[in-house]
Amino acid sequence: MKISSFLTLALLLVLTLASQSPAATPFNLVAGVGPVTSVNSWTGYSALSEVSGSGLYSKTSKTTTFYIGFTGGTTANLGNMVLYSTLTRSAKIKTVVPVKLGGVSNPTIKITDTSVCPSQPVTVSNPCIVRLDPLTLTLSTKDDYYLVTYFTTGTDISSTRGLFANTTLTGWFVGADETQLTVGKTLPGGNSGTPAYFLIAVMSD
Amino acid sequence: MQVSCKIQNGAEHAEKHMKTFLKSAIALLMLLSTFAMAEDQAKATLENIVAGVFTTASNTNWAGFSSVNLIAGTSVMPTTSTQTVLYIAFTGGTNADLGNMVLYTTTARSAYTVNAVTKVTYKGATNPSFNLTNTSICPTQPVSATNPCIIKLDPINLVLSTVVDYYFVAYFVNDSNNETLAAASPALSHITTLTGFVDNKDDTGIAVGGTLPTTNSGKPTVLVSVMTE
Repeated sequence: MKISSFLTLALLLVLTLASQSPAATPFNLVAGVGPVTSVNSWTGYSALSEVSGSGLYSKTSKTTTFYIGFTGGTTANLGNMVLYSTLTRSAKIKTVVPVKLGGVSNPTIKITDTSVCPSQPVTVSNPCIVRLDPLTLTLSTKDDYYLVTYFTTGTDISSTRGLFANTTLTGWFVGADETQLTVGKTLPGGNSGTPAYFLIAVMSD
Repeated sequence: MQVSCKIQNGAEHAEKHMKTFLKSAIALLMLLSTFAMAEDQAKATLENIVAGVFTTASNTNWAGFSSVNLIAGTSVMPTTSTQTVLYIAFTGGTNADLGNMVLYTTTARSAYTVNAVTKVTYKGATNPSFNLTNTSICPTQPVSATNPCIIKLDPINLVLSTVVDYYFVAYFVNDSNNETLAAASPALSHITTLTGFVDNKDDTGIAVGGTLPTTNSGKPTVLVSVMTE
């Protein structure tokens, strides 16, 4: 009786754990960018990418990871990266979260380095996609999110941009550092619904 | 005597507790397993893997042309199936004569190098012919842009990855049937996450390591849905 109970217990435990294992695979949180085109001259500019709460898929994640793409050049000097949240369809900032790569929010990304971009040369038909550090954040359908990346002097890279408007990621750019805004301030306008610059995917990991 | 009785009573008591514990644990795990099975049954419901095409328009004359369709990894929705099913649609003509159908997997997102080639079949054939006036294939007649004939291809044992792209390519042989054939394309642009273009040659013969055509007009043709089984 004890042995059969123990075996039943073990079997059920294995079955229960096995049924939960596929959840570990990273998944898309929104419809990202497919084919891309290229945009250059980013020194002194901020790229603002909107992740709309209304575009989120129904499966949620405790972590959120942004993927940004480059189509050419050698060096991206990032002055800062942040993620603003607002109430959905509002421009008033609710929270500000630092976004990092390798633990820093102002990384220098060497596009010609094969440890960063394994497939060389980086072109519009062979873009380099960089995974930023995962954030411990569950995206909410009640909020909108804005990934803002500011590029400083010495930046000579070109960015990806969605070739078609069939992504829910939209964006625009501003010729100033827009990463220093604080809670309660208003985001700069300018989103005309064109596909996002740099940002190509938002995933669970 | 009293001591030995107490020890015996204690052992019986412990055994009773152990049995109760085991029964409770088994009941709990059975409950968890039931939930897991219920979840699996829910997962068995057909799910869209990407946002497909709904209102359709027509694209006519397919003789000698390939329909090239991009399923971007970034647009793959979270689903649970182990199979992928492609649905194609026709909007006019009498017969569709396919020369070949393949699904290419690229090496990365937004890349054009082929990493894998998977045969796509209908009832086991990669080159089926569809009689569009046959009600067993297209139950509602006549077939038109507002009444497209949607055909489910054979399920593919493949879970679409989010970190690569997929290209479904259907080549139509150069014959008179395909000259009058009309296939579905989206009436409303950019509502679907499927994109693609039409190429005037057979694009189904690209081998692993080869390069896919980089043209993309933004409109899928023939392919209307990508779903789980």
